[in-house]
Order: sequence, then structure tokens, then C-alpha cells
Amino acid sequence: MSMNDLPPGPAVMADQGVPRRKLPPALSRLRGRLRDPIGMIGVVIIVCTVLAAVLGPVIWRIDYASEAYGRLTAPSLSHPMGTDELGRDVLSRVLHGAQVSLEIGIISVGIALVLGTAAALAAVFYGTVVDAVLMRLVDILFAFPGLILAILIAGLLGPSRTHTMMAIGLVYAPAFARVARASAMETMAQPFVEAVRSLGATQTRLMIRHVVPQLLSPLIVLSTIYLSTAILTEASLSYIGLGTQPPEPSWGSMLFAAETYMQLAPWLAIFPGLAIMITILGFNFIGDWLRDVLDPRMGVPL
Amino acid sequence: MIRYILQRLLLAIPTFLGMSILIFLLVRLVPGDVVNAMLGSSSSNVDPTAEHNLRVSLGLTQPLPVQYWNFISGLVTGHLGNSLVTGLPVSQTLAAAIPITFEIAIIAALIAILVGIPTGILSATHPNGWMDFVARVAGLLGLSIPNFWFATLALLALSSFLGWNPGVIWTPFWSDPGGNLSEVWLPALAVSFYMMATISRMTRSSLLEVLGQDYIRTALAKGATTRYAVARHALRNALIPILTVTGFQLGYLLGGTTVIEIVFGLPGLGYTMINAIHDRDYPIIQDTAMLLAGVFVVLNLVVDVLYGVVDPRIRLR
Repeated sequence: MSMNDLPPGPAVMADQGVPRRKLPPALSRLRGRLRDPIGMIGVVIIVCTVLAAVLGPVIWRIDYASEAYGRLTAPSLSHPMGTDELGRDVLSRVLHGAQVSLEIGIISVGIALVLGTAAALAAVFYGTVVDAVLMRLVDILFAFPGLILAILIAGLLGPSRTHTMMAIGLVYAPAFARVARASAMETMAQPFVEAVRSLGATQTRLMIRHVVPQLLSPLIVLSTIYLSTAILTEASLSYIGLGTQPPEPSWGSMLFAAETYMQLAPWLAIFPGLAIMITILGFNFIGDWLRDVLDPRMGVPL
Repeated sequence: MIRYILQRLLLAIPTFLGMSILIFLLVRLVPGDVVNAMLGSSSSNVDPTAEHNLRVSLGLTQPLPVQYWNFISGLVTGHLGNSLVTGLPVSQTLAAAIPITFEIAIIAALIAILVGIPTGILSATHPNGWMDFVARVAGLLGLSIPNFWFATLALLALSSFLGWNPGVIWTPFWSDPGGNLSEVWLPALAVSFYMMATISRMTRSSLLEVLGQDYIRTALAKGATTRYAVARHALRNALIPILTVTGFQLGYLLGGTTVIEIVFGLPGLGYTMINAIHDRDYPIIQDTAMLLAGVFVVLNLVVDVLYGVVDPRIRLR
């Protein structure tokens, strides 16, 4: 094997006259990543999904609850994704499902974000006892496989959309708490904090004006990554009957309902599943890209 | 080394205790118990004293600390008590469910490791080539396909194009290995994708980082072939992050298996847990949840210990 087969460590790149080494590593990584098409594809996918959720029902004007059409008809021009067992148009349900799934994803990540950040700030600002107690709780929640804890909470509370969001939010809050706490501790150790304090700033002012803004960047990355996880978790919960309940279509509950008619009408299962997959793919593309651009050191166990 | 292992074991005890308290309280603080679940909507016609007597006989009126003590001492001694619904010993239910879940999880993990690590190595040794691109896109797809959706579509395709259907009744491996594997391969494959993708991506990035190190350049300068340098020097040093995700993913695999068991109607731990949740069968919910979560903790512990084996520097800290 010759030197040409070498993996391109930075040294090899430099030998070939590519001036990678001249740039600081972070900058060169940023330059490479901004050009990365995968991030852009991700953005396009998510923009399309959001547009479909918001504008879809306005453009495709069939009511998702109307049972006025033939039952279990295959995809055709008038119903591009076919109709379901009650004679409802599947396209309008997938579009409405986009709203439901995105909404559940956003709200549950919001719950995790608020709970986690609040716990982290309390841990940092209210002394070692609060810190120790809260962080042990975080450790214990973290010791569960997420989906199993979500099934447990959602199942026990009883299947409903609100309970699903509460379950997902609670299960993913520890991840946000850990990242927020690490970031906040880092900020608190900086000299400017002492300066701000000596100028007479209160704890609250220090927290809100100086610490919280430093948390934004890592928490935004984490939120993007967990949005896809939350949507997938909701779909899993709905699929086993513990999430969104039948008349209301989320992508997961549509798959749940499709199960019975799989042999007769495979399109009932194909389209909602495709919608989930493409959306998750979009978030994963963006998450990958954001993580490398903003914070390459942050390992998130997913 | 032994001190290191003992230290890790001791650290896991508070985690176990915390988990057991959390599961215990979660199960009890939520409205509705097994009696409500049994009576369903007809509960308004039931004589309240009979209802109360039923609760007393099931031990549901005991003070919470007593109930917790029964739960936790049962876990330690192995006397898990009986199901509140069927009256059968919980240990019997678990003994039937454990092999199913673990077999799916182990086969899935094997598939994931056997595919994930080689594709990761190929990606890292040919960065930005077509193989890398294919592996990268396939990896992101693997992270994005809902495993239960893949499983239902695969079942549909296999039965309508090939006329193949998996058996409906669970066949234990020891009584009929062929029949058993023909039931298990598809669920295992479906659950393995996420882990496969994660392992492959981690292998790629970890190996790429190591391949940029000076000692690899030194090895190559001394005349080592790329193959030798990767196999002998790079892989070993790239192993720790790969081990970490493998350990973590094994735990998440148990979550995925839960949903897949429902798709295929396989009576494993997840299936048992979800049914018990519907029935509010406290002992079964508690023990299955504790088992699934406990395996996750133990796996992380094993990963911790393996760190020490792979990297002697960690042991000394």
C-alpha cells in the first residue's frame, strides 16, 4: 500500500498544498461545515415540513375529519394518498398530522428545556444541598432508557396528548439540566461574574442578565437534536396506543390505526411513516451540522 | 483493577435505590389501581365494602413504606410475590418473558456491531469517497427510520410478495432453533438499525480523529502499511468512544425492543410491562421496569469496567 492510500490527517493535507493548517482548527471546521450540503438539505426539509403543517390545510382544502369519500380507495388524483377505513382523505390527515406531531415535539422539548434549565439554575444558585439533591435526581432519571420511562409515565397517566407531552418532557429534562448546569458553572467561574457582583448586582440580575444568555447556544443545539427524538418518541407511544388518541391524527396514531388494514390498504401505513422518516431525517441533518458548527465538544448520548 | 470494579459497583447502589423509589411512587401516585382496572366502568354498581375487602386482600391498603419494603426485599431475595390479576407468581411471568427480550436484543446488538464497526472503518479510511458518502447517508437514514414502521412494512412485503409469515406462537430456541430464528431475525434487524447507525458514525469520527495523530504518521513513516497502522494502532485507541455508545445503545435497544414486541406480538418484557400497565398490576409493572432499567445500569457499569481494560490510564485515576 502506498502513501496515496493514506487517510488525510492534517499533515497529509498540508503536504498536498491544501492550506488547512494555516486556519485555526475551529475556523476551518466552520468553513467546511457551512459548505456542507447535508445541513442545507436538512434546513430545506424542515422548512418544507413546517410549511406543509401551516399552509397545507389551507391549500389542500379537504377536511381531515370528513368521512365523505369512498372507503379504503387506493391513491388517485383526487386523493393522492388514498382514503382510510372511514372514508377520510389521507393527505389531509397527514398534513394535519404534521401540525400535531410538530406541536407535540415542540411543546415536549419546551417542557424539557424549561424544567431542565430551571433545575440547573436552582442547582447553581441555591447552594450545594439543592445542587446535590437535584443532580442525584437527574442521575436517576438519566439511568432509565428514555422510551421505557416514557411508556411507564404515559401508560400510567392514561393515554392522551397532554400526558404524552408531559412524559416526553420529563424524560428528556435531565439532558437539558446537565448541559445547562455545566454551562452555567463555567460562566460562574469567569472573572466578570465577580466584577458584576462587586458592582452590586443581585443574584437574580446576575442569573437573568449574565448567566442565562450564555446558555442559549448549547441549549439551542440540544433542542434541535431532541426535537427529532421527541417526535419519534411520540410516534412510538401513539403506535402502541399510549399517545395521541384516534379521531385526532398524529403520524404515530395514523400508523396505529393503519395496522388493522395493512393487507388491504398499505398506503395507510406508508405515507405517515414516510412523513415521520423525512422529518426526523431533516432534524438529524440540521442537528449534525449545528453540533459541529456551534459546539464540537458536546457529546450528546442519543 | 478489583478496587476499581468494587468502587463502580458501590456507586451503582444509590442509583438502584433511587430508581426503585421512583418506579414505586410513579406506580402508586397515579390515580386508579388494579381494582378500578378490573371493575372498569361498572365500578359504580359495586358494593363499596366488597371493593374495600378486595383491596385489603391484595395488600393495597398497607402503608406505603410497608409496600415499598415488600417490593425492595422481594427484589433482593427473589420472592417477587404474585400477579394481582392472575395470581400467578411474578417470577414465572418474568422467566417466560426474559429470554424473548434478551434474545432479540442480543441478536440486534450483534447485527449492529458486525455491520456498524466495519462500515465505520471503511468510511474513516476512505474519507469523502463514495463509500464514505453512502455510509454517511445510510447512517442518517438508520437514525431516522422508525423501527416499528420498518417492521410493519417488511412484514407486509414479505407476506404479499414471498408468502412468508413468521410464526404466531413463540418458539423457544432450545426446542426448535430454526423456527425460533425465523421468528426473531426480523424484529432483531428492525431494532438494530439505530444502534448500527450510531456505532458506524462513532467509529468513523473516532477513527478519523486518531488517524490524524502524530503516532500514526510515525508508524506510517516507519513503513507500516495503512492496514497495519489502522488495525494495530488506530483501532485500539479509537475504541473508547465506540465502547461508550455501544453500551448506551444496548440500553436503548431494550426500549426499542418494547415497541417491536408489540408489533410482532412477542410476549417479552416490554409486552408484559405494557399489559401490566393497562391492568395496573403493580408487582409486574415494578419488576419489569426495574429489570429493564437495571440492565441499563449494569450495562453502563460493564462499559465503565471495560474502559479500565482497554485503557489502563483510566484504572489509575
